[in-house]
Amino acid sequence: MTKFSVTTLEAVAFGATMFGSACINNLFVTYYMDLFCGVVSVSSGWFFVAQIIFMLWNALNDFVFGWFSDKEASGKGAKPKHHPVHSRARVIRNGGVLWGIAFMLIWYPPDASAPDIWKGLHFALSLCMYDGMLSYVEVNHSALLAEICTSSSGRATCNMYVLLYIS
Amino acid sequence: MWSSLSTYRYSAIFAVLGSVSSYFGHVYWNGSDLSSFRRVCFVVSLLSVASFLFTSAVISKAAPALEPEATVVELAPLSSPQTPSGAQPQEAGATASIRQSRAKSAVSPQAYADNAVDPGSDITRDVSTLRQFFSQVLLCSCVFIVSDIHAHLLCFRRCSDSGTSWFLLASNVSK
Repeated sequence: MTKFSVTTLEAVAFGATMFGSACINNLFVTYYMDLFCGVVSVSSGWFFVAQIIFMLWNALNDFVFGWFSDKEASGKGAKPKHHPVHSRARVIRNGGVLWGIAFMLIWYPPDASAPDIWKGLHFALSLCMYDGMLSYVEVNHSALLAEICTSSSGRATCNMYVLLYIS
Repeated sequence: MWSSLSTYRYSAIFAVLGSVSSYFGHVYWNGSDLSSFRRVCFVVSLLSVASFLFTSAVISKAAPALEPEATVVELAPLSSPQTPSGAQPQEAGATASIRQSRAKSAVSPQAYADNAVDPGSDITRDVSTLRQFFSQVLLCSCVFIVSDIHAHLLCFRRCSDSGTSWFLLASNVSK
């Protein structure tokens, strides 16, 4: 039978991803600039280079990961009972762990006395890795909504939990 | 099943917990020694990973109740008896295309019956859902505004001596 709505537990679980996302993201957006400009003192040249790399990666990764996850979710050769929800849930699990690791790596920068290139590379790589994992998890999380319930009220309930969690 | 009030209460508790990470970051931030801040980040990271695993576990468990593919409803013929005979090949192509696009978005009659939904009463149902949704959005917007003002004030206080604050403000607004 097609499932039209979600239980409260499923709606809470759906929103829980955004709770994790909010916890990490609040810290990241508030302190990454302080860290790289104030503590590590990345040179202005490397700062702009890293930001441009990050900007390009940020523009690309949403649809790249969206395409990749859709391909995997509706993959050829999948088991007959395979449901896209299983793939999305697996991505949220594995991607979430990688996202946590990427988040932790940010806070282990080279010393302020290290060469500029190391500081700049760490800045660029940690930004890209963090944002890549963020997109990987959140793209799949967004796609999940259409796949776990088909009713408007069910989706409104899920969105309510998401909005409350991310605040 | 929780009552609506209880649901809001639990959601509010989790929302407060999610925002508290910034507060603890602020308390333990020390530019000259990052060790205590790293500990906070580690705890926050563990908490986040636990919530991702929770989502994954519950949603995976719920997945067997979902069908791999939607059932397609049988549609009435779309071709009109008044169609000129000369235009039939094109009309047939267009009809097939419309039929295909309608079939993609169709839900089985059995599914409608299971949900006790009358397709004719969709407007009433959607209006009440929209009202419910917008009242929730209004509530959340208030929380957003307060938390964002707090974040911006924090940014200005921390780095008011450089252009960084404007950059951070712009990135927060775009977020």
